Amino acid sequence: MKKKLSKIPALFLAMALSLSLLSGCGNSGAQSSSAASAGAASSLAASSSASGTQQITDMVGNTVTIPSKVNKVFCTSPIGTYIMYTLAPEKLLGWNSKLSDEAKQYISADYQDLPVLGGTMGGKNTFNTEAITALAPDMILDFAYNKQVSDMVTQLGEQTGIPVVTLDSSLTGTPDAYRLLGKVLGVEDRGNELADYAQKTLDNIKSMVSKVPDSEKVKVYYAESADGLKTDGTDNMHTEVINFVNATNVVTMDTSGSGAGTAVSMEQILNWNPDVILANSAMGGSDFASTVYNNSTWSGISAVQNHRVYVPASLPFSWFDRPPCIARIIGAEWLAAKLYPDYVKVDLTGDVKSFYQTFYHVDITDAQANTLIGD
Amino acid sequence: MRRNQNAGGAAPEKRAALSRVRAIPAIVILLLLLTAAFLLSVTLGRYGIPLRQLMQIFFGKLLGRTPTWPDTVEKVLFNVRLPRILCGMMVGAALSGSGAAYQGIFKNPMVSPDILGASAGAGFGAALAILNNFSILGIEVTAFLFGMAAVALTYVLSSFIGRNLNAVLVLVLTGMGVQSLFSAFTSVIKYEADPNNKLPEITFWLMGGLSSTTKKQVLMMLIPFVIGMIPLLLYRWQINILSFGEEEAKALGVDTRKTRAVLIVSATLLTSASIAVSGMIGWVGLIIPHLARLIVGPNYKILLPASALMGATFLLLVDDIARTVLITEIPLGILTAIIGAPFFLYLLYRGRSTWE
Amino acid sequence: MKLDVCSAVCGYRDKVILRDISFSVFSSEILCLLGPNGVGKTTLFKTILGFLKLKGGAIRVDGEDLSGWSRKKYAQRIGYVPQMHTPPFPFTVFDVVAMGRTAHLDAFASPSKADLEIAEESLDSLGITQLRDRVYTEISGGERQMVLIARALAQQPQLLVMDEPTSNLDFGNQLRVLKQIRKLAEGGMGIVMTSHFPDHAFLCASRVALLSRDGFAIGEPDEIVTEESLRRVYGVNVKITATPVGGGRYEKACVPILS
Repeated sequence: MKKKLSKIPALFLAMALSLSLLSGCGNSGAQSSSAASAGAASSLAASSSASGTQQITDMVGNTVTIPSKVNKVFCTSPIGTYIMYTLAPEKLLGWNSKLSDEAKQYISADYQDLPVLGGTMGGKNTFNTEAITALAPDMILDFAYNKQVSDMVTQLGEQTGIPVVTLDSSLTGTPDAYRLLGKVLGVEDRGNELADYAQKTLDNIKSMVSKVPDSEKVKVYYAESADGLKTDGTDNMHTEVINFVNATNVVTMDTSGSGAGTAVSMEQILNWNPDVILANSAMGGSDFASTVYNNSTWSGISAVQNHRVYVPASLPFSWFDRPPCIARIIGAEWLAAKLYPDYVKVDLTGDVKSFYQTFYHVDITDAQANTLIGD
Repeated sequence: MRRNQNAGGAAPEKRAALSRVRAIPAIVILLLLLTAAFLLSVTLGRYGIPLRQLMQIFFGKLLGRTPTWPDTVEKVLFNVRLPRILCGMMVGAALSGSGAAYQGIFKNPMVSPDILGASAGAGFGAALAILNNFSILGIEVTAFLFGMAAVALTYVLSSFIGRNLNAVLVLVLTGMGVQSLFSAFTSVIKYEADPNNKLPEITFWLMGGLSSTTKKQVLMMLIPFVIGMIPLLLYRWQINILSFGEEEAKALGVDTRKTRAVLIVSATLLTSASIAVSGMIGWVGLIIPHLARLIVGPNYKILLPASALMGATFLLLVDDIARTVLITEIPLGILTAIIGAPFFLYLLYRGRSTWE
Repeated sequence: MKLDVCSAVCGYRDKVILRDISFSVFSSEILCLLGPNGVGKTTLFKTILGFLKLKGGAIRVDGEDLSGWSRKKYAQRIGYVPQMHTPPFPFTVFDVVAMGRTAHLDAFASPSKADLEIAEESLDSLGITQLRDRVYTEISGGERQMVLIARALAQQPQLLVMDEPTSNLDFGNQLRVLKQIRKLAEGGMGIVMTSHFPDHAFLCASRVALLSRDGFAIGEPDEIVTEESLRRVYGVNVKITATPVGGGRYEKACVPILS
């Protein structure tokens, strides 16, 4: 940056520069050389304290330089936080928002009280850049759908100088995400273990549901509000699981533009006449599910008549959406079993217990598993 | 002096009689328009119902015949479509009627029903209720109560602040203050709200729409609508007088404090109930009375019912667009703004002479 | 009709402007209120009209005390012609005049056929029927002032209070309005009008009240409007002349001496 300087300020600037050069040594921060990086941060800092760095290519194609040994990771959203919790909880810098008491029952006591740092979710749950900088994580972990990286996260990386690694948040990308993350964090074995588990489960489901003929494909409507009139369309990070289990999302429009879902009219829902309704408990879906059977307007719908209104479990993390996280591994199996009981033959109770053991390190009883599975 | 000499050449009695006759056709035409819009709206909807079936159901119900039509179709018509149409008409009429009344009270054609804080208050009430997990009914009642409370606050504060000052000016300024206050509180709630569920719900609510209208909403709207609309219609001649200013109105024989109070309470009832049932729908209360004034003139004797009828028709047609054009719903508040704002600019351009 | 103002004390909430004002106005009389700005002419007539509360004394119409009258009753007895101004909405002239009937309407009524006829007659009597369908906000200042007078006439009061009825008018219109005011008084109306021009007192007043910082003087124009009183009250030098205008009559006028 060239400026027209007069003499005294120039002298002052020279002094300031030399001082900062001297104090700059010892700063361990290294830079992300991602496409958008402009070097506004510590270009003067030498990475003398890092015992080494590694270069990796993340899942959106950026080449990122991170320390060889990563001790602490800040995750910008629950998607990353939850995957970190399953993979390497000791490296988790903190949660994005406060854990509910019910969720804590499934989380190891050692990590329940990690600091709440906020994330990219907005409002009071936004991260504080200075606080993150002060905690000095080695890496920022972000997840993107369809390679759409958030500006907010890029800016965080530039302001703090902490490298940002972006992985793919899609359901089918989960095994790859685990493998890459495991390598990066130096927990390859664990990473591969979880990746293999995920891959196996997903492949199994895929092969079973692919046998469903088109004529028997189930029409699903996803309700995201207490009145049931808010939803998300197809080919959308929120509704991926529906497509994955070979069901049809009745909302054939792409609504990914709106983060909060889209409204539809009651007439439209009656017109679609879905076979199954999924209600998200995070968005008032439990209220919806408990009242819909008494609602005369909805009573004519196939899903209501056949008692096929389901609320995906959400403890400790949602099995379906909001956030769309790794719990969808078991969530996809659950949904497949619910939608196509004739084609999907699995020991759901056993698999739920096994999933919780492997990923969350908690042993749950058959009763607990069945409560999660619902009716 | 020239007695009985004028362009028409008629005697005073005859000219007077002519004035009264001219008023009638406008209202009749508007009523016919509304009826046509109503009938059209009944045939529109994403759940297609053929015209023949509609007629079947209508006559069948009227003559008490046993249903030969599917139960779902009847449900769509009576549980979904008709309640929504009725609510749309009432909300449109309520917002336009109260907008017209406010414009008269505040002697300004640029005034909308939000001016005393009803919408900001109702919005806050709804956000608060959503944050605290109230039922749908609870949200509506809270929104309604806070809408009324905000206006009451404005009224009380303004009588306290300016006892001898221009009553109307103080009301407006106090209203602005109260509006800002409640808007700020709403922002705080949005900031605190869980971005995964509460915040989207609040945002949706504030955006406005009739998508979740059921028979319950119709009832909830009907009572305040009737209670609010009647005084407005009864006092509409006096609004003419109020528009000339406090002193002149008094000198002409109007009890300005009492009339203004009745009008404000009625208009607030109408506005709060509308917002409680359909969220924030802007522009209707501002441009419809304005448009009505351009068509039927400024005499509130015709203007008030004309505004109400036009408002009902307008909102009905706009909601038809919102609920039929796309698979998903277009938020009503956005549509009224997209249609309303340019139209408003056009009216400004056309009707400059009406307020210079 | 007799308006009695008895030892009235007039003012605003915390300030007294006028003390101990007493006078009477009868039907067919024109009382002209003169005085410099700020001396209390407006305060006085606002008190008569009931816009300001009387702080002391009493005002009576035909012996009946005004305080406690409803606005409707007030309007049926006393009419107000304000200074011409621009209202926010484009009412027709006829509508504006019809509004004068409000005092005689029931609470929720609008003008009946009979009321509208009275409005028509009101326009007729002032010779402005041709303005009937014009938009009030589009006619000239003089025409608007006439319409406001017509409106007050439609109200059929017994007393008219007029606030500077000739301000904002051109010379010709000023005289036409004054002529009209005289005609109204001849027809039986009692009139109280404020004015900035002592000449008006000579032109149409039957009595003049001169308000000044030192007091309140009321009487015939010849007594009250003198060179000496004008110098005292307005601080200007004038000469008062009497000009023969034929038929043995004289019209008096104030000629200002500027040098």
